[in-house]
Amino acid sequence: MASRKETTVAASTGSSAAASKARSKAAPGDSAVKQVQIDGLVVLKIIKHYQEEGQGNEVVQGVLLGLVVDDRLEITNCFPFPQHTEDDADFDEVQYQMEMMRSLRHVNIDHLHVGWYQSTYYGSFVTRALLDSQFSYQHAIEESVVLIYDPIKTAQGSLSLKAYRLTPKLMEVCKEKDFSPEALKKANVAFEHMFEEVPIIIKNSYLINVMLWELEKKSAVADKHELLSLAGSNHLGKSLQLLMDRVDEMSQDIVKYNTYLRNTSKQQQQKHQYQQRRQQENLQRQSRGEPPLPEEDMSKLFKPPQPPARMDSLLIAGQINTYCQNIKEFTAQNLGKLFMAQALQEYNN
Amino acid sequence: SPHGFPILPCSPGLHFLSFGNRVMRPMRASVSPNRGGGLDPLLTRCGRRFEELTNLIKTIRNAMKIRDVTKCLEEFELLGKAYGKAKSIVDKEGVPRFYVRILADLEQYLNELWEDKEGKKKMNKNNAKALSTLRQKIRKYNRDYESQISSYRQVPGGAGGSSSSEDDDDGEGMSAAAFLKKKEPSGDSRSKFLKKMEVRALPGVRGGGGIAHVWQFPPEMWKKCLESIDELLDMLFANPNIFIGENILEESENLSNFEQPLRVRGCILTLVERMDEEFTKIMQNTDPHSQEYVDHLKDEGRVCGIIGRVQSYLQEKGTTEEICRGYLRRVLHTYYKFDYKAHQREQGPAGDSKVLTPPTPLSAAVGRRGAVGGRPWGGAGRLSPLSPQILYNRTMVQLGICAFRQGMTKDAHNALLDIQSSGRAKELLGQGLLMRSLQERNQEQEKIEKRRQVPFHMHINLELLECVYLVSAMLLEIPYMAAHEFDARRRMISKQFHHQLRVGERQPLLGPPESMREHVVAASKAMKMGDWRTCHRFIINEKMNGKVWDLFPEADKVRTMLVRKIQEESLRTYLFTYSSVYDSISMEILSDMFQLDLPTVHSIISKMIINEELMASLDQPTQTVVMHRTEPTALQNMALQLAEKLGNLVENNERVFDHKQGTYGGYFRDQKDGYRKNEGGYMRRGGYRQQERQANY
Repeated sequence: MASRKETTVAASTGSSAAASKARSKAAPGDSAVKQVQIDGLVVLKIIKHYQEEGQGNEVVQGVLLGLVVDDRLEITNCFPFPQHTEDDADFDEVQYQMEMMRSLRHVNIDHLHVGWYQSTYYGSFVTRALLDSQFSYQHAIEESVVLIYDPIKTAQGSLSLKAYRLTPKLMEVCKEKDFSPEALKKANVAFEHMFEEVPIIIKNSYLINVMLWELEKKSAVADKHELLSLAGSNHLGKSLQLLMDRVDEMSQDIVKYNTYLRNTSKQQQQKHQYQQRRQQENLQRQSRGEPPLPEEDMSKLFKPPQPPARMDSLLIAGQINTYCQNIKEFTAQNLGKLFMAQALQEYNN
Repeated sequence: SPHGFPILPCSPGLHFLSFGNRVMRPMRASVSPNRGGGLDPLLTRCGRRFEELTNLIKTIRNAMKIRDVTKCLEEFELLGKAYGKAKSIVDKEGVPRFYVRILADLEQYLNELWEDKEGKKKMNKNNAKALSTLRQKIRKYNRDYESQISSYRQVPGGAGGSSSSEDDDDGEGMSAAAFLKKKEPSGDSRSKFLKKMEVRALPGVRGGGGIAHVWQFPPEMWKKCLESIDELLDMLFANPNIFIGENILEESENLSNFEQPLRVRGCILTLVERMDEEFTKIMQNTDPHSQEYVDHLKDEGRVCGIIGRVQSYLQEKGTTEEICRGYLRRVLHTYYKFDYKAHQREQGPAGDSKVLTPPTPLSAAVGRRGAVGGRPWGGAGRLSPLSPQILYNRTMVQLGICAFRQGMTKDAHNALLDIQSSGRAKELLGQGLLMRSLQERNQEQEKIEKRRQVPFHMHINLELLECVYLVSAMLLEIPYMAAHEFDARRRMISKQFHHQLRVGERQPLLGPPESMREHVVAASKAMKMGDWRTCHRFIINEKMNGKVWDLFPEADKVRTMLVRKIQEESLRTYLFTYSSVYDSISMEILSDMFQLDLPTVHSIISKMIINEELMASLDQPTQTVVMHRTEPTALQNMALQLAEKLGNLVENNERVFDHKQGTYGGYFRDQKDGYRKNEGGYMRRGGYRQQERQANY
């Protein structure tokens, strides 16, 4: 504890200083963070934030505070962002963050920016917005992570909190800002390689652990029946619906890409024909002893069609992947329960 | 003005149905220009316009002096135009006397020239030609100013127009000198009278346009016209040896030779049509909420009587086209009415169909007119102020409402769909202008559109129309929605109805329904649950009775039909929605639930089973419906949808692959091979799809 405090004090010149310090500390390997350790306080704060502010498919967001120890990112505190409403258009986010961090520092709380958190609706979080903000975070503070909190899954009985980081590959692509098909192909980025999940450890102080044990003894077993209930089709239906929407988007995207391909090939053909005609003409001219026609700029004559950005389809694919995993997980659990129920029934009979 | 009648606005182009050409009497004697230097006040008053006119007249007089008829013709045409420009002033002040004078003098002068055979021979070719043209023109033109000219001729130096016109008024009130002549006890008075009629009717035949005019006959005068038409018809009926027709040439007229049939140029039908049109105009221009309107409306009986008489006259003497025109007039007066007498006569369901029939020949007529490009029915179309489109729309709406009364909700919905989905029912039916487009049109267009409006008593109640449409849509859409709850590509039967439903859903606080629409929405919601009693309560209650149902003839019959429809459709909805919960349902319970007798329930369910809407079978001995439970659940449906979508995705993706192959294959020979490979790809996909389809069933 003491050592940690020292670090904080030493690096208390601001978040950028912390970042630079952390960078110097981190090994220049493929990823700066191997593990995320979250304080129970942070988890509770995030859950509370969603319960009080979020509803339906509205997401809540906030800033994570903490520090880096070796290859472990310790998240020790957080604070929420206010919900966006129309009437506070002049709300300055940066100033709000700075002020919050300054105030927290006054009460001796870790005030180093190490990432951000966001709630999600049925696991739909792989979006352009998330990518962009995580990129800017990771660009500025290399170790930063994004915590995704799924309130619906949590409500079903098991806490769902995941830490994600962009892969170095994706970081490179985002830095280049070139999302053309060629560039992505060159970078060899597929939807599987977009995000990496960082394992999470939730750490509580010993006193809290003791209390939890005590509480567990007191809590009635009846509360655990929920775990056994066969989940209704509602959750599955919602997930399917969302999955379907994404598949539709994907289809559209592919159609767009197809059109692009067709246009390019058509143009290629035209270009080829043009070149051939030119060649023949030049040959004729040569035989007649005339000077060949001057070279013309081909790129001016045939403007290549704008290639569609492939990042969106990558993101959609990533999202579909998440949905599929969610559904798989969900159904696997349910199947297990079904089998159990069947076995129980047979046993009773 | 002694009679309190407004001055008639009048212009050269303005002369239809002018019975007893009304004397253009100036309002104040002082305004009317007199001979002795009366021009000066006018000049100051009316400015340039009249100056222009006087200048032109001066030139014409000069040309007359040197016998230059060509010049006369030119100037006369200019004069006509200038007079048209001065119309607004003329409307206010009356026809200036100097204008009448030049018209009269010019005609006399031309007639003199015409009679002068010697002089005519001497004329050069141009002048002779101009003479004949001008003579015809001025004859035509002067017809509109006949009375003024005649009064001018009587008192060439007259001290003013007012005195002469008052003479007319003393005699026959509003009808002018022409009618006075009728009273002359001379042998050929009848032919003279007919001659007059011809003269008056002709402008109507001649004038092709006339649509832009908003000028209107004063109602009192119009009533006088009715009397005269009646008289005319009496005459025609009493004297079968008179032939009239607009095709009889002036030369071949026979007005005096009683040995042979009398032939008179003119058209009684056109006359009646004009009269009828004026009636429409009077109705259009009267405030529909005043007693006056009701009074005017009482005249319709007389109008219809006259039309009937003309028709019976034409039946004997007229051509087919004329008979049809007469018929069309009659239909225009009857098609929107409910024939209570006919209904009482028949005392059965046929009574309604009787009402349904009149529109049909009309629509056929209107339709035909459109198809043939307006030739055979051209006359009628031109005379009818309503555009064929509006007539067509109105007919469709009438048909739709009739169909609804008969319980044919589907037909009613189809007939009303076009009108209702546009959201411009008011405009399409000619029952009012939309405020929205007011800025987009200029005054001229607005005038034209106003002329298209239907008189108030012919209006179709828009709320009733909408209610009929929404209720039919509800009866169709709610069971359909229940049947296709999980269908991804469900089409909408009625967009309008869905819109109303959405509006209802958006309401933050749902109180008891107030408006007609809210009632229908609330009823729809009840029907969705198969709750016919609530649905019935929302559709038929005091409020809705007052707003809609009581307006129907035989309101009770309509209500009974409606209740029955609601019961039937609720039963269907109930079965669609809740069949998945049942293993079997007793038909007796269903019949009790929906207050339908057992055979009806049986027939409805059988129909559903036959149409494969309901997966069930009937168990005769126990009178139950046994569900097959083969319908996929919501989740299964979704999974099927997903599978279909993924199939599409795969197909699209493969196309990318195909494309790549095509491109890499090069442009020459290999291309063909590449495409052949593609075909294989498509076949493979076809196989996939078939599998999928099998999975669907």
